[in-house]
Amino acid sequence: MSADALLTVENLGVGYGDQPAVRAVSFDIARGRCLGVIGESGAGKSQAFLALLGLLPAQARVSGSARFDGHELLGGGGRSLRGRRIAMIFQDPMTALTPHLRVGDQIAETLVAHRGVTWTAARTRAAELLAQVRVGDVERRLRQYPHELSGGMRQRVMIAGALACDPDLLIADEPTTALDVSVQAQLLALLRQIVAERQMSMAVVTHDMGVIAALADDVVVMREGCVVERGCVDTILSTPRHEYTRALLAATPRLGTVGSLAAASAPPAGGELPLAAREVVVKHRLRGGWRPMSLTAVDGASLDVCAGEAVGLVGESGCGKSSLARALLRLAPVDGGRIVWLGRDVQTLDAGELRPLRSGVQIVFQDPLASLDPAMTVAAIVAEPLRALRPDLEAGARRSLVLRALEDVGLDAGYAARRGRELSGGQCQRVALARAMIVEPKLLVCDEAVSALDVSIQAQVLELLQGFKRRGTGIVFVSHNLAVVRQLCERVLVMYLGRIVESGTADAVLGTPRHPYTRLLLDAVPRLDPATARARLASFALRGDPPSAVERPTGCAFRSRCPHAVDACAERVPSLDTVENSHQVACLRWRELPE
Amino acid sequence: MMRRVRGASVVLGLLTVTALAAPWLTPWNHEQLDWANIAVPPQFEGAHWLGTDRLGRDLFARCMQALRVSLLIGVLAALVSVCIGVAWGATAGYLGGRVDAFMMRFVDIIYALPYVFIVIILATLFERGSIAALLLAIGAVGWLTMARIVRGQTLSLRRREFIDAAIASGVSTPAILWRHIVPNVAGAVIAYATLTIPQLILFESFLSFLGLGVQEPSASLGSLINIGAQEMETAPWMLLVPATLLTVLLISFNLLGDGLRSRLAGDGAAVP
Ligand code: SF4
Repeated sequence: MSADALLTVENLGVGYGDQPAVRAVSFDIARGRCLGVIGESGAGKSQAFLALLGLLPAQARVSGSARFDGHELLGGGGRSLRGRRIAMIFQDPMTALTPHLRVGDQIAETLVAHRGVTWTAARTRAAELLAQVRVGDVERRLRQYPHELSGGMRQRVMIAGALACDPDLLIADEPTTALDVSVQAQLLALLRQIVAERQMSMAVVTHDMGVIAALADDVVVMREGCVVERGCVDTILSTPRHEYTRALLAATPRLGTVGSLAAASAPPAGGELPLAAREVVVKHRLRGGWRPMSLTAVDGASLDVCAGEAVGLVGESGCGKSSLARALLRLAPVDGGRIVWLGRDVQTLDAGELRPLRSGVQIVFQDPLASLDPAMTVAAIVAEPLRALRPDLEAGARRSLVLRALEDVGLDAGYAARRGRELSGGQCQRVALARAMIVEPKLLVCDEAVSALDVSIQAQVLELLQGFKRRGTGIVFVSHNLAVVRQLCERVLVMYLGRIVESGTADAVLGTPRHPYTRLLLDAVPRLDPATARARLASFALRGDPPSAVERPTGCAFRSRCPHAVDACAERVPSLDTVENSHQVACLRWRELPE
Repeated sequence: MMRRVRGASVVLGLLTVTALAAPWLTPWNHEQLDWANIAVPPQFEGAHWLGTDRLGRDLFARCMQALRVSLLIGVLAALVSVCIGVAWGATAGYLGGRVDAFMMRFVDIIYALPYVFIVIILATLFERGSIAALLLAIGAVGWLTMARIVRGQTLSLRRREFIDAAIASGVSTPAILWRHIVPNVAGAVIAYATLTIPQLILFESFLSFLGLGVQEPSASLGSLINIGAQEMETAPWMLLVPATLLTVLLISFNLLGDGLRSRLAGDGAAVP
């Protein structure tokens, strides 16, 4: 144990009943350094830190010792230091903030509680803190409620709150997982700066190697409650010794992966699917207020898919990619343009005529658990499309189809009687895939279908999708993760605030991007090499948040964040221009921009 | 918490069984007059365990008969309100938009009418003392809150992806309501229904107390309390016995409902 360790954890164990969640874990965090703890879900990494702060539920058994600057944390000691000397930020800032408290009061409250300062002083300090986490327009922000802020902004508020009492140690539990790539990059940059400025120690708990590369000095790799490897970040990322670390690194999708899944497959031969989306417009009606408002989520986007081809639909949250994907199945209303399936406009189909669309186009959603009805068994869930679309099937035939579909996604018959909550996230997603594929659709829409999964599971699900593709299913793959898209898709469409700003083959769009937005997204993809990762971050610290579709800039919507914007960009909405072959870009200045 | 739920279920079970078995437990029935024992306090002699009233009717037999009526009305009226409330709330919440606005404004309007007043009018319109009329009157107003609860739960379920998945699988709207919404609101519905039963029983007692409910020679707990209240000074047991019974009944239902609510309704989906 090094002499200047701020926190020394020895033989920490956490268990529920006779189920151990964390087993004899030891690590220490040196002053002014950042420890990265990486592992997949169920590795016990969050449990370990919650135990240190005394935040575990009462039935948890905690053993071992954890000394923080001379104080024992376990057995109640962590509770008194929490918020004062040790602060924690969580993955989901929305649930961690109190919905009815204004941002300013929320931060001030911590100060009043721990420091005993007056409310006026606390509010002034809150404003300073927000400025330190690079929140602009502080006065207005202080008076806003959490739901009025974007995800990135909320996470900043959380960080400001955590910094309120000048903690010595900041614990960040998946701090950027819920955020868009570009915002994620900004926050990582911010965290780095803050930690360096204040010479704080930090522990970052994550499943994402990119976050580790960007932030950590030392790394602990956890699996099933045990530490399997530890070392400094360069060694772990470049020459991992434990096979699990190697597997984790290998499963992490990378942009440059040569011989990616897409490249390995034969070019699509099946010809175009009978789907055409032309100039689609999707509006969401917003409730509230006296005048009903509407928000244009998709603003004139077109899309075709070939059999056996995967088309990636990428962009940040709120760019309309999900709305477009859902409109293909008539799950979102189309307010303009046409979506044609088998020669019929899907908007005009009545209930009886929908059947060809329903059996031809299926969807898999992001949240594996939420997409399974908690009151139904796996068999009933998978059988549902058959019941609805092929009512002529007998129970026996249906059952054998269900079992086959389950087998197709790697689940044996034993799972048929289980329910969603008894399965892991990856298994849930397999069930959802089985449900979608049981009617042998021609087109499968995946709405962020792998985003909620651990990397190794993600790789397995991508492999399954690859298999479906080989059998001729077309895939529309909605994702914010460019690296995953690069692996699976032949073609890519990049969306920004409802419009397609760049499209073409994956090689062209992701290899030689033309649109400044595509370049920004690519830049923001976390790198696995610490040196590059950190160098890249520096350039991200001050870039803006994506505007919401309500306050769309005139002209080119990307104007507010574009480093190349000129006056002309405010006047004309750029249309898609052909670069070469199928590569198209919607930017007025693409010819002038450096390659 | 579990202990309370278990205790409440045991008490309710015992009360129900005794009420149903009463005709075989006591030699008296609720209409029989015992001229030899008029207004006697509880005693073993003559098997008047809880005493008799002014006309010499056995109080135990009358109480048990009243308990049967109260339970019947409470449970059936709760069922009526569950059926209407679930159908109404689930439809409104699932369809949303204008249909929802219209259906829920309708509920609001009925809510705004004086509840007691409506039931009194309904009860006087029908033949006095008809249990069917009482049921209808109580149940017809009791579904309002149920509809609101179910609508709220449905709104949050509607946003879950499994509903979209069902739509994409080609499941029809009525089938989605029946197969996906109803089973997932069942927990909240059961818990809330258990909490409505005592309200409805109390309401029936109140009507009977006013003389609008069950008519002689039948009795409900409310009408027994009404009679007992008039004899309070000379024969206190005539008030104490039915009043205690009603209190125990209501407390047990409330405890059970509370326990069920915290177990079943926390997450709209946690139905075992
Ligand atoms: S049109 Fe102008 S603002 Fe838009 S991306 Fe091109 S250069 Fe940037």
